[in-house]
Amino acid sequence: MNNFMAWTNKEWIEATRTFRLLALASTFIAFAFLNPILLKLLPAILKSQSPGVDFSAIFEMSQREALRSYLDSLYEIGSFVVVLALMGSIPNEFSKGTLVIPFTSGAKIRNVYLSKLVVNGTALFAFSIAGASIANAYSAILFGTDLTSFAPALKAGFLYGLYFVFAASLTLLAGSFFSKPSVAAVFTLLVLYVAPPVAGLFDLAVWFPFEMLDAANDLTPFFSKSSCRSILHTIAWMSTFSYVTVWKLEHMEKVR
Amino acid sequence: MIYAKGLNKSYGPHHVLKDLSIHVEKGEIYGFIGKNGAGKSTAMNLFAGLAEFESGECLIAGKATSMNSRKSGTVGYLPENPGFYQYMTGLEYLLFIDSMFKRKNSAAKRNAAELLETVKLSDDAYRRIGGYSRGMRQRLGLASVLVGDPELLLLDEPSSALDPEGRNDMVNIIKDLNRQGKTVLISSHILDDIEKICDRIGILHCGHIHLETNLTDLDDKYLPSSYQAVFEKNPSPENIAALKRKPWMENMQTVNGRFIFHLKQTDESKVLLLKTLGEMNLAVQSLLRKKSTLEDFFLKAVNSNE
Repeated sequence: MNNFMAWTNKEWIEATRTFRLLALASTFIAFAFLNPILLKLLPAILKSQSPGVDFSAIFEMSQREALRSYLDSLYEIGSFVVVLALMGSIPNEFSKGTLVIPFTSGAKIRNVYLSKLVVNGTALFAFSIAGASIANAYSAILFGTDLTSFAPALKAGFLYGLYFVFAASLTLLAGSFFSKPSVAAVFTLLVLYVAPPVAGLFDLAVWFPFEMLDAANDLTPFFSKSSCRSILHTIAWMSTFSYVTVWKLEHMEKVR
Repeated sequence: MIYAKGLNKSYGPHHVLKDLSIHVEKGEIYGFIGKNGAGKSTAMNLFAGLAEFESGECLIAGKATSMNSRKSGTVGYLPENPGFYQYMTGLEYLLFIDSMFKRKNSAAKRNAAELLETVKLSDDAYRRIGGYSRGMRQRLGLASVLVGDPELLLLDEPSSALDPEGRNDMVNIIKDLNRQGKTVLISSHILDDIEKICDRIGILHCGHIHLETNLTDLDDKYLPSSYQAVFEKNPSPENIAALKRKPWMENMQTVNGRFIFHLKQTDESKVLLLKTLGEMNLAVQSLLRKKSTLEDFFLKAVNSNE
């Protein structure tokens, strides 16, 4: 087994045995079931609070709206959960001294980082696509089919997956600069939640992953030109984050 | 094996290592002793390539070493509190470390099993490390640093969490490793262990090597000869005062009716002691040479510097 595979295997063991993957999967999948149900029940719940008002006219009850509602929730809750799940991934390696023996045994710091991104990124991608697919199918059962194919859900899952990998790479970057996981988490969440309105204000969304999320929410089966640009920019951001993270980790002392 | 000259290292305003120079020969066991916070662990971190020094020169196995430019697999470093992935089993962890060396799987498993046997953890090989005691972790740490068969072992307080049997095992393992040709730099507060295994010791004090010596030279060169005497009849106060005034007498104590004479480091002092006792007509029941310990040496060396 080579150095990278060894670290990937270690990350997989860590993600499964510490229930990190289970927590991430539960968030993505649970919302895929809960969101359509909540949308279905919402008019009835509100009606019991305000008798006489027809709330079904206010809310659009459709597969498309249910899937969109799921994606909105996923952005808010998913970002939070991803950051919480990964905030200690790098700081803890240093504060707990777990890199000392591997590093003196020849571990390569880029493999330590890449394994984290690959294992968690692959899982986030898979959960995102699975969540969108489940929400799409379950919404069709509850509201009937109005999306002509599975493609919009797959596209949305793909784009959200990419966004969460971006969030993961940003969290890892923050973890390489801040020794406290909580500080890394606050920094990352601030960027993730504050950047979209700021980018929107200056018409910069296409330079960030947020244009990509708009493209996911339009629920068309095709990738628009602007969404493709946003995808490329997101990949460029992730590459930059990765480069800076590895550079920082290589140049910092391995003991804190 | 280790050649360091003028190493300096600070953490903020705290200047931990001040022109540290040390030379450890290949095949030697070198004891690194010093008070808490003297900089022993910091020095080991530098030798292991885990931290950067500000100035100086450091060669490990003939190769200039600094952070990110170290010869991989040359050094095995066991920190005082080794950090492990708690969710792994002991065997998994050793196989994980082994995978850094790109060995075949079957060879890795055989090597891991042998190492677990050496450190007496075979029965706990499939237990998660999170459930290990501190002593078991220290044993696993030793096994981990031996996975790559390094030429140089840096052991920072390797037996601090071990019971007496574990300490004895650790001492024997280190002796065995030394017989196989490995160089060992060991730091420990358990000076008894250091005394049992080390060829040379260096006292790290105020950020540099304050004193360095072969253990065989310790008594002769640095420590006063101490004799414990029991008399049939206690000496008179006049005799005691006269003994204390002798130029070859460093110090004199009375403990439970026993007289302990600490003599100055000269060849004739012990002869003069016997002669003087005879001249005073003191009937000696017993006279024993009290062996000085490394602890005596350490305390003397450190206190003389303060």
